Amino acid sequence: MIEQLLEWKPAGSPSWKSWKQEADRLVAALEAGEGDPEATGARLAELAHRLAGERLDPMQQLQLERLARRMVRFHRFLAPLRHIRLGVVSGRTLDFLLPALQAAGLGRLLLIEPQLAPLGSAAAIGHGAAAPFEGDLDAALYWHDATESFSATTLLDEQQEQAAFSASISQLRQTIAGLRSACGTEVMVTTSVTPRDRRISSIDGAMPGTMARFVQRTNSALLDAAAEGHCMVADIAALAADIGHAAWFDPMRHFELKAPFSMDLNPVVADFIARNLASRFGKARRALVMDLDNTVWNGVIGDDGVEGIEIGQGSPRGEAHLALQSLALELKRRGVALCVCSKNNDETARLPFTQHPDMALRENDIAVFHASWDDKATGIRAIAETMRLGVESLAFIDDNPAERARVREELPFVFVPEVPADPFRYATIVAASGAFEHQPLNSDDVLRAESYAADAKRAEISATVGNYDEYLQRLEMEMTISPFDEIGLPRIAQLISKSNQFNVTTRRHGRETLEEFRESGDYLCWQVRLRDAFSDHGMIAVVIVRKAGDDWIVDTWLQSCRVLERGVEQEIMDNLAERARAAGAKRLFAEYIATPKNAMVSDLFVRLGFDESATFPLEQDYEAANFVCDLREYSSAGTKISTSVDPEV
Amino acid sequence: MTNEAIYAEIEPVFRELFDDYEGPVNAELTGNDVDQWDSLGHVQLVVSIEQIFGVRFDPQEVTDLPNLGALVDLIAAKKSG
Repeated sequence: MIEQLLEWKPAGSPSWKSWKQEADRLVAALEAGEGDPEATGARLAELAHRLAGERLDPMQQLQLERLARRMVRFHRFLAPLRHIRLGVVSGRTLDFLLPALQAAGLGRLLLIEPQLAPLGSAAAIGHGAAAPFEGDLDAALYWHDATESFSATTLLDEQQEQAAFSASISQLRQTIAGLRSACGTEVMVTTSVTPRDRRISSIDGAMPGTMARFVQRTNSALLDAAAEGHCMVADIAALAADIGHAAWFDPMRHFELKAPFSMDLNPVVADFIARNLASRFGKARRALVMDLDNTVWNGVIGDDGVEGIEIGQGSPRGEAHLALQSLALELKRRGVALCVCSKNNDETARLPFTQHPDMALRENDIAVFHASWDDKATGIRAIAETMRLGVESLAFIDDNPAERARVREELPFVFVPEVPADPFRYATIVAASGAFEHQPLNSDDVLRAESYAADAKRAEISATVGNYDEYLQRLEMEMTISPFDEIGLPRIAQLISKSNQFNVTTRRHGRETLEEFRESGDYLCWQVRLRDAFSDHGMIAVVIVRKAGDDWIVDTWLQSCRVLERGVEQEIMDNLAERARAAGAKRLFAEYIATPKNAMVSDLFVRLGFDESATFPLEQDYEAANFVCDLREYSSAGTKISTSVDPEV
Repeated sequence: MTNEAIYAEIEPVFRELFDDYEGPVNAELTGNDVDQWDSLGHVQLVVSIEQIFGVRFDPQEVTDLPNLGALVDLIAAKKSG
């Protein structure tokens, strides 16, 4: 049964035993104070993470539990594993869960050091008793079981039920508050499961006075409290439903020991608690890296072509791959970055994204698109660098067992779910693995998610609106031009120091120079912002122009590449021409300084109506100026952007 | 399943669970000889044995066992029955 429950874990690796032996030697070296603890710890952390990443038989489970127990006191050498001192409070017997919890922690990048309060101390702590724990804690786990506080009220009597429910909830609230202050940490509370002997009919959940309804309402109240930030929650009720209540409960052990669930499930429940703790302590995965051929679609794009691959409705495999794509989009909505790592030519790999009508994923859903003939570990390392994430923030899905094995070997901290050869369970396995468990999203997360969604929506409009001008029209773009100011300067300086592609001169002015330009009356200094119907792009362009009497000279003109092909540069030029003319200028000079990265703007000024190859008697700094625009004759090509200009500029 | 085979499988379980104990693992061993083999340790041992040997114990069967030998006899009986 555990096989199905932890199906994302590979099983039966022949190396397990040798890793375990090496880990035992390393932990013994740490215990004996031999060797360099940093190097020993780094290797030990890798080994422990791999050992815990496998599906284990009962003997291996015991071995891992013991290893975890021995490792915890060397936590400062075991990065990136995070040390969590955990206080555990329960009215049920949880002693047997704790060793499994330590073992599961290793697989979730945690070193859990649990302490168990005496049975039933929750109520006392809720009433102000000191927490029975030694030393500081990082978190508390309250294994709450609502069935303990259920008192049967008259069936169908809603008022009686409500009174009992309110009393129980206020007691629970008090206990949580007491735990929070006694432990000095956040409290993770579990939801509860109705025992099978208390669920008599299908209507129980709607019948006042039943335990099923009481538990259901308590769970719902707890989830609401967690969403509002009053506590953390581990939704054990959902886990039990996932496992199945018939397997969840073991009445014999319940009556014998007050064990809340079958002890065979210890590793599964422990992993579930650990993954919730991991998400609280920043150890959940942040990016999903996907292989393409036979993972994101069925078939090999290089051989089968866009017409030959299967994706979407009409074939079971196509639908299964589409389900994975839909899951990826759901993750993206919650702030997980999506990346591609494929052995393909870049151009070929992108074809389905741009041309296949049934793909749910589009190019702009992918944060980093790495298609090359590099081996996957190299590709994943490059993706991590691009995203400035540690590899322990990544999960990687690939249908090819050899690639999975290689990535696990090279990058032990990347989460690589085990998947079968056929795609039917890919989406389920990725979701059920809990790699992307998360805490309640805050408004920043949602904003980020909205901006992702806006990108997708723009793509949608572009797909349905055939005429590009109509598309631009429907974007309802609004540009704002304002002078440099204190608030904008950090971002201006950042754009000037980082922009490479849409940057005509790549002059890296420092903050002080920018201040001088701003103070001096000789420069026009513009920061340009853009918003559209879907999102606010913030500052997307910086323009600096030197005013030299009749002749104005473009010193800097850079734009963000997020808003290409929208007429932004034309709109800026129109406003610049108007502003210069109003100030009495006759000609606008510009130069293009080629770098390895800015070829995209080599013809910018020609496109904007400048004359080429002019040389003029200019100052040393601008001797390369080779484009000129006669402002008296300039007329705009027009754009779909409406602009408001700060009168100060 | 012979008692020898059962001891061969139990010993590593015993050593992982009760890792402070370094003496011999044999029939005469009792909770008095092993600090970690308290009531909690006993349940852990019993549950591990259930999982590893694929047997199931009634709580009555495994409380008040005089020594490890009695537990091994019980496993042998279950495996043959």
